[in-house]
Amino acid sequence: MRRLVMPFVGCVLVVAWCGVAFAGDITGTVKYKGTPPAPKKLKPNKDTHVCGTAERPSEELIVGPGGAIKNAVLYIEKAPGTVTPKKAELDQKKCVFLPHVQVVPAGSTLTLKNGDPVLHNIHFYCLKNTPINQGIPKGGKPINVPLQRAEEIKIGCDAHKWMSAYVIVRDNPYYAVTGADGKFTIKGVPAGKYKLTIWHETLGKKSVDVTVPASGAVTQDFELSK
Amino acid sequence: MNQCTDEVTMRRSPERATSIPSEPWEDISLAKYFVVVILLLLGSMAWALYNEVYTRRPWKSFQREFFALAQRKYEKDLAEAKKALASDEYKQLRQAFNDAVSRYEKNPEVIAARKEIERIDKQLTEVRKAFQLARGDYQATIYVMERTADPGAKRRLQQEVDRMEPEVMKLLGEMESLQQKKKEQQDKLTALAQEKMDAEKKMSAFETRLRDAELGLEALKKERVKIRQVFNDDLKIVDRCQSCHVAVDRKGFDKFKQPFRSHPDVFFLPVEEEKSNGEATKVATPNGETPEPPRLKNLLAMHETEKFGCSLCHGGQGFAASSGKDAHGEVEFVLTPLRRGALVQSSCVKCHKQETELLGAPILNEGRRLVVEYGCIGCHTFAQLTPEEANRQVAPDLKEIRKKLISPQWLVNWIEQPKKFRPTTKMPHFGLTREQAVQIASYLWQNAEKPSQHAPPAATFPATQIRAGEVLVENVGCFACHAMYDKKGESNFAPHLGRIGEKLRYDYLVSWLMDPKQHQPQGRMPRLRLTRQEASNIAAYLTTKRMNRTNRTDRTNRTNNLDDPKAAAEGKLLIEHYGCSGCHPIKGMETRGKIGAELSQFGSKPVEQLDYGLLEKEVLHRVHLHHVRDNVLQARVAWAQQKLRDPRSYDRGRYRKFKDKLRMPNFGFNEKQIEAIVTFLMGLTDEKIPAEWQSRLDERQEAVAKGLRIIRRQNCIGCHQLKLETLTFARDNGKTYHLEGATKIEEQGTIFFQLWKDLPALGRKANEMQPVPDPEHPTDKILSRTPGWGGDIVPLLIDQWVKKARLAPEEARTYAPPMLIGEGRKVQPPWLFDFLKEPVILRPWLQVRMPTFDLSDEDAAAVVRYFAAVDGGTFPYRRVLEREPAYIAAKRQADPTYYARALRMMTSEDIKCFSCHVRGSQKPEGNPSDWAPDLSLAQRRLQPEWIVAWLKNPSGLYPGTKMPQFPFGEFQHLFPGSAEQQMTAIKDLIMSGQLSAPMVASAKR
Repeated sequence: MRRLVMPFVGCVLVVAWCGVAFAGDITGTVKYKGTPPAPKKLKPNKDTHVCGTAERPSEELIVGPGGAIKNAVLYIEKAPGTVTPKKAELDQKKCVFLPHVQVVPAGSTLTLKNGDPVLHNIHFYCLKNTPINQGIPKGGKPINVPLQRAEEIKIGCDAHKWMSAYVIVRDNPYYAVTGADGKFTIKGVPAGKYKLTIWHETLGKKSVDVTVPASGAVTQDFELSK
Repeated sequence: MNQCTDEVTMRRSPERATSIPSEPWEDISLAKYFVVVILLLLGSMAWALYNEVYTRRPWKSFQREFFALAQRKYEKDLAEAKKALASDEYKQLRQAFNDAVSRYEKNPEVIAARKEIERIDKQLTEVRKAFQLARGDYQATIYVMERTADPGAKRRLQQEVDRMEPEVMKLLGEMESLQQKKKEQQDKLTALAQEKMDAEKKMSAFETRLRDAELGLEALKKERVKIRQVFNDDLKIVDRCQSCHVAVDRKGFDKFKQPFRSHPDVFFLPVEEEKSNGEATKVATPNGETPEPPRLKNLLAMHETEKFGCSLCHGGQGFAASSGKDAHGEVEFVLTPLRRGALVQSSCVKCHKQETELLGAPILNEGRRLVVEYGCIGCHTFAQLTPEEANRQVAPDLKEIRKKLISPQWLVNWIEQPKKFRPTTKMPHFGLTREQAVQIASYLWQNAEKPSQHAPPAATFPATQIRAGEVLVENVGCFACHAMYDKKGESNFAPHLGRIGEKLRYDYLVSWLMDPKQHQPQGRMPRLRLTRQEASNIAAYLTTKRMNRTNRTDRTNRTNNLDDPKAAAEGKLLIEHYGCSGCHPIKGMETRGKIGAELSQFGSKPVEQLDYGLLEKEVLHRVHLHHVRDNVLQARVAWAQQKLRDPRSYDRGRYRKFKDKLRMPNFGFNEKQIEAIVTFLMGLTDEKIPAEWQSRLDERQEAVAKGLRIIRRQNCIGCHQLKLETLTFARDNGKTYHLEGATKIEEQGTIFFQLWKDLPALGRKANEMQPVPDPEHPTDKILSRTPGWGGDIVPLLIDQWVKKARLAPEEARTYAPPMLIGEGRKVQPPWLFDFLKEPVILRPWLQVRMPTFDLSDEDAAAVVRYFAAVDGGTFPYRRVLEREPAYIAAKRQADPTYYARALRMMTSEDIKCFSCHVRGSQKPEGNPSDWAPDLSLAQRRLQPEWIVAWLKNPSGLYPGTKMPQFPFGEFQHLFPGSAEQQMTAIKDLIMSGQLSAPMVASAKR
């Protein structure tokens, strides 16, 4: 028995090494090219006792210092590997969807919540997944929505037209969302050539070819404009 | 004389008897000749027999060949089916089914539901008895009261009746609620049984394959080589076609070579699918004494071959069985050669005279539409058309041309070459000289009403006004019918507006836009209820629609003077000659008849009467004929095609007097249009089909046919989608699935199809998305796909809103005119009638407008009836119980707070209907573009059942709607009860008409 242990451990190590060693990262920064437009303002005109009356900046384009773009989604078009479904959430507070942009693996369940003491209705505008249009009263039960197929879904609230959010469903595990600093890292991509796509809700979608090395990282920066 | 001869002979004969040598021919043996002759005779008889039995009966060998083919096919099917039954997949499915059954039987919920139903049934029996007694007493009292003459007694009895009424209504209510409860339990059972049924369905797919193959083989054993004949005395049909075409009504031979192919699925009827499932189970149960081979369920199911035969539709010599050529009638002197290809559609019109949208005959439908729309009816008579079509005024009345045209010069140019100005116009080219055009224009000009003022000098309008007009044109829905060069949209229903600024006067445009019917009472342009300001803006914009920017008005007087009476007199003769008044109402020509030949029997017109002029060889060559008699049908088709391509070509090279010359103008039809028109023409035969064999539409079908004619005429489909897209696909389990809905996106060979109708066969509900092929079943094969019908403007508006308001395409869809799917079950007919007559604003967020069509009462009623007929709704009246005082009183009696609580539910923070819905004068917060329809209109507008179904699952009835689904069943603090009861209460409140402002106010307090 003991004689078998060492080779087994060895095999495990070799397999693990193969898995780790032939994969690299994709990193980069997403910036706005030129002078960004002044952020749009949204003004609640309904249910102001909950939503408030104050103007709020639109989240459709958030450009930070140095032109860093927040909430850009990067993903690999086609890649080997399967996704592990997860549980994701979409909440609403003061008539704002939280989070504004998120990526979930295909097969995941998105739990819709209403943290506001007012009726919201969550309306999915999809082309591949079954569209949901569900009213959630204040303190209503959360609703679980299965998201099966890869696409970019806009979500709105018909009761409060200024509200919007995006859920990007992906069928492979290689994706990232830029933070406020515009930086992203897609980790552990098996070495090879890929099509890397960047998606932004107002700046659109484009793809570039990247080659991921067997180890280390490849840097791919983006400059977007309207 | 005779005697004399006898004597001589007698005298001579004794001495000659021995000496005379025998004649040579008496010695020669003729045996060998006889043998030869006999052999020859035998040979020819054998040949005759062979010829009779084999050569002249080619169908025998065809049938033998087919039986061998079929045997092989079924054996192969059988082997495959057996293999599939032995597979682990089937065993698993079987196990899964057994498990599901035992789970279902043991499920405590099932047991509870069954018990509950039993209990409800008992209660129901009691309540029903009580109700019947109470109602009996109540009605008896009413009867006595009505018969009583004494006013005192009458009053007493009236009080008695009033006293009894609530009791009766209470019992009725109880009974209804019990029935409702029972239904809920039954629904629950059905829902719980879903797993079991799904498993059974999956399993039975395997068994069906085996059974089909077995039945096929069984049936084949009984097959004998024989003549297969259809005889129908009424239709004068003796068809032996199936003697060779053995598989016509057998399923599964689609891929076989002719004559062994199944009749193709011309179109697919979902109803038929249900029927075939039902019948399949029926066949399976008895141990089939005479097993039928699996049969097709489609076009042939409605035109059974054993009754209708083949030649009624396909032509040919049905009785001929000696050779394919004879049977197909493609030989000399046969009057009904085979109708090949699209021509087979022409046969439909022989029996279907009223239907303009025949399923499975798109080319024929198109031809019929073209004949009307392009004004063939202006010169020719077609007895087959409905009066609706035959009496259509297809071109404008010309009395207003002086008020409307910028210059007389335009008129001359137009008459000379209409397509030069507007290539898409339906006005044909008459091949007139300039002089003739001036003469015709002179007559028209001198016989038109004079304008009250001279054409104002071409005004220039401020850019803001022009821009405002442009926005209106884009938004109110002009592009549902019109097109422009610099805008998207290709509708050719109404005139192209690309150069309208060169044609029409501004003042006329304004007046026209405000009320088109005032100018052209028979015209089709509807009123969009534009204000004068809006009309002026649009008119200003339209005046800028020119090809060249220079203004031509100043050249008018220099070119042609249209005031010469002599020219007008010449013009009058030309107008009469060319029959202009067939399409245009022209002053002084009101009584002129049609100038063209009657075409009601063109499809059987003798070919020798067709004048090919000098083109006979050329024209016949195109259809590979040497002589017209070789194939009269093809000869006729070729003649008609040439006539439509170049109407006066048969005059070419011949000397003709002016009045004898061919007069038909050139419409510039393309080859597709020509094919369609010829298909229609070839169906116009002199065959006498007995009335009982002609299509007799029942009330519902007639309503649909009539409605469709009006819908086409008014182009309702320019804005509204009336039919869903369909997609039929086959799965490797041998089943076909029929989806109704809309393609959302096509990507990498996969269609993402949103269902609008539930699809229990796949366990899918309306609003869900079905990918085809399904990733789990990559072998799914699409069999047929038909596009939706209507909503031409929708993609344009979506595009516009995506750009303008930066919406997701699906989000922008709400800004397009609504799809009218299930409208007949949604709205109340009287409301729809009123709405068609005078539309009101229902959807405050729409900028595109429902026009006022000024339909006649009859036409408006026909459209309402169409929707009722299509969706199985009632027409014209129905009782709406929820509106009646007795119903309301009973509800109040049972629970005085019933309506108040329903209202509390609607106004609560949880549902907040009026956060979006308008309610009479009370408007929601926010932008009107975000509002929803006025609920105070719903009492008159909506069907009560629809309201409940809508509340239950809005997206299931109208995928993509803004109306969310609410978690009914919760809200117990507002309205204790089941989800069904809560929704019913809201429906009752809406229908009771109590959604009035004071009540809402009091509830708030």
